Amino acid sequence: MGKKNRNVAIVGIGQTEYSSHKEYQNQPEMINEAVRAALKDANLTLDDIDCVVHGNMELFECVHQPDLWHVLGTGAFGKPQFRITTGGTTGATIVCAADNLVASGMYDVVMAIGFEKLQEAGSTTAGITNMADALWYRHLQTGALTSAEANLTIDEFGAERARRAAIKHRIMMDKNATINPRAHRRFGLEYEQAEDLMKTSPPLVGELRLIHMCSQSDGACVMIFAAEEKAKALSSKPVWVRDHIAVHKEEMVANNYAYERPETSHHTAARKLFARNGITDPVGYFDVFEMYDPSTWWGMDWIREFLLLEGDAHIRMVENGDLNIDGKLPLNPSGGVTSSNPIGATAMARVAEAALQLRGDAGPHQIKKEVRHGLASGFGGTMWTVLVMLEKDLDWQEVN
Amino acid sequence: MAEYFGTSVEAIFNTMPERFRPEKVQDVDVVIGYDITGDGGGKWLVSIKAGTLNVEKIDGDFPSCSVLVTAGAETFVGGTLGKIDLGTAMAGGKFKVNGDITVMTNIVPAAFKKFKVAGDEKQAEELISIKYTASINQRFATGPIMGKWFKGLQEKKFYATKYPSCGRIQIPPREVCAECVVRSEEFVEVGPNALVANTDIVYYASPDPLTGNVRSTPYVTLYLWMDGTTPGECLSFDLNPKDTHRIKRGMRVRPVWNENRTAGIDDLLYFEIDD
Repeated sequence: MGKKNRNVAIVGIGQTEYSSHKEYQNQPEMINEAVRAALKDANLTLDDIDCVVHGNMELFECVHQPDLWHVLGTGAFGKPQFRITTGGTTGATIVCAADNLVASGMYDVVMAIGFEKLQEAGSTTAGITNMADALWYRHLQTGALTSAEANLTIDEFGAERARRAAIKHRIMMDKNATINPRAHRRFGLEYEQAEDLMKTSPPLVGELRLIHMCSQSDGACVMIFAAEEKAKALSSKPVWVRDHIAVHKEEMVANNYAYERPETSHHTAARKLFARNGITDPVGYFDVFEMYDPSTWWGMDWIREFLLLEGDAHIRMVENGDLNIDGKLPLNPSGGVTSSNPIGATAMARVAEAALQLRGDAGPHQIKKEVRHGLASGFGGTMWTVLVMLEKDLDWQEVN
Repeated sequence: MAEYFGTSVEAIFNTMPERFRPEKVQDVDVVIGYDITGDGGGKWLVSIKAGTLNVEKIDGDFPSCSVLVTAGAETFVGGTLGKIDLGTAMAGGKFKVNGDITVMTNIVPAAFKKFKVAGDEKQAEELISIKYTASINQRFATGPIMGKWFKGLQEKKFYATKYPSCGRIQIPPREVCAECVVRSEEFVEVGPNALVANTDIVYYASPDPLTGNVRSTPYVTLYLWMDGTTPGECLSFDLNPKDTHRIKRGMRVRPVWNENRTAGIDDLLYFEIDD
């Protein structure tokens, strides 16, 4: 990373509740709810916002220039505005853009908006399939549904252990979601149900069952970023954006399941980001990790990828409860993406939820021990990773 | 009788004949078993055959059914009224469907008018929404590299690109290697057979964007290591439906070609086990 021109902090966060339907709101109204919440959280008005960055999964609701329609809700009238759409990573890319816009000195206060109203898109799976690579993969894709990762996990650790760890992981996520008042799916699952769920949850693809897959949600997430001087004046609890990285791989996700698997974009992102920040023990360093986990099987494997673990270390972390909300490294105290997935807001909600944990303002799903160092990830369909590091204090050492 | 959301399980089954729409299910022949547990529950057998309906409350075991629904009484009533999201209930194991799930997702909603709580018809708040179905004729240029690929398929050949710096042989071919960022102008013929690196057996019925038809399930998507390509490459394609339940990773497969080839994706029908 180039040296940051100036430090940037998150000073305001607003989220709607995430749910399957928001029949009572149109898109600008839904966004407005989160905009008002973020402004209130930052104790700012729209007059204080210098620039707006807006985005969602491209064309999922089949509306071009939604940023213009949404001005009624975003309040961007007469302000510089950028629109960003990078598929599943959109929300995290918006965070990176907002951080860069402030760090560069171009704007002092930037409002970032991620949203999705998947109810209006019709069906996430149909949307992903219909807009996949037009020359080849469109014919073949079944949205983001795949069992390939599950097959490999079962190969490596045996069916019994892999399936048990996966369902335990899923129930742990649901337990977190159940105490997050904004989470979409809050089943109230108990570990005693594991056996039953492994058998009765309807299979979607191979080993991937309905219980393992993320939801289809409506909702908006808004974050306000400010330059250091303003952030210190505005907020008693600024959360600092230390660094972020974006890594893309091949155009087709199929390459990820080749006979010899390439290094995943997640692993590349983590390896580079941690190296340049002097992080040698990510499990020990970070106090919270909000991961974009589109399915339990992916999420479980990606613990290993993101935390640069080897062998069965990630499975053991699940089995030992190390990733529970009161564990060594709490993973997705919000309940993560398997509980709420308003796509354009999803990756931003990861950063927002990690930031809330650092502030101590997460609410009922606040981690009990002190949270000083946060990690958040975004994921896009064809292996596109964004990884963001957050800090409670402005005291980290630059590494060259 | 136990009431949930202002009505009962019994009322939902009792009103089925008056809500039945025979014109929607003329070609349907299904038997649906409902095992509704808890206060006010019971067992019902709903048979739809050639536009006729039979609803019967039963004791004892279910006969052979197309689909068996198991749910608590409150979940069943709430789901019927739209007060409880059935997708969520299913995912959480509170609404179980054993058998052909499309009976519940496609046939039942078509066969019956919505159940409404007596006297409640006019009280519901009207939330107006605009419904729209997009149908778009699209045309995508292939460019020279993918053009060569499709032309190859027409001639029953698979062309990959070989990169001079890293030696990678990539399929489908690409203009530039993403690893070494070098342009390739060299095509090599690979395949036609392949090793199955991974598989997806798909039960979830989703629309095929090229036809608009809902795909018939189950089907298998293969992740293939084509002969002659480097092992980090992967061609994804369909499996011959006849091999759906035999396919295993590590097996070898061969392509089956369309007799009428037009330099498009349909030139290749599927791969099948190379016995």
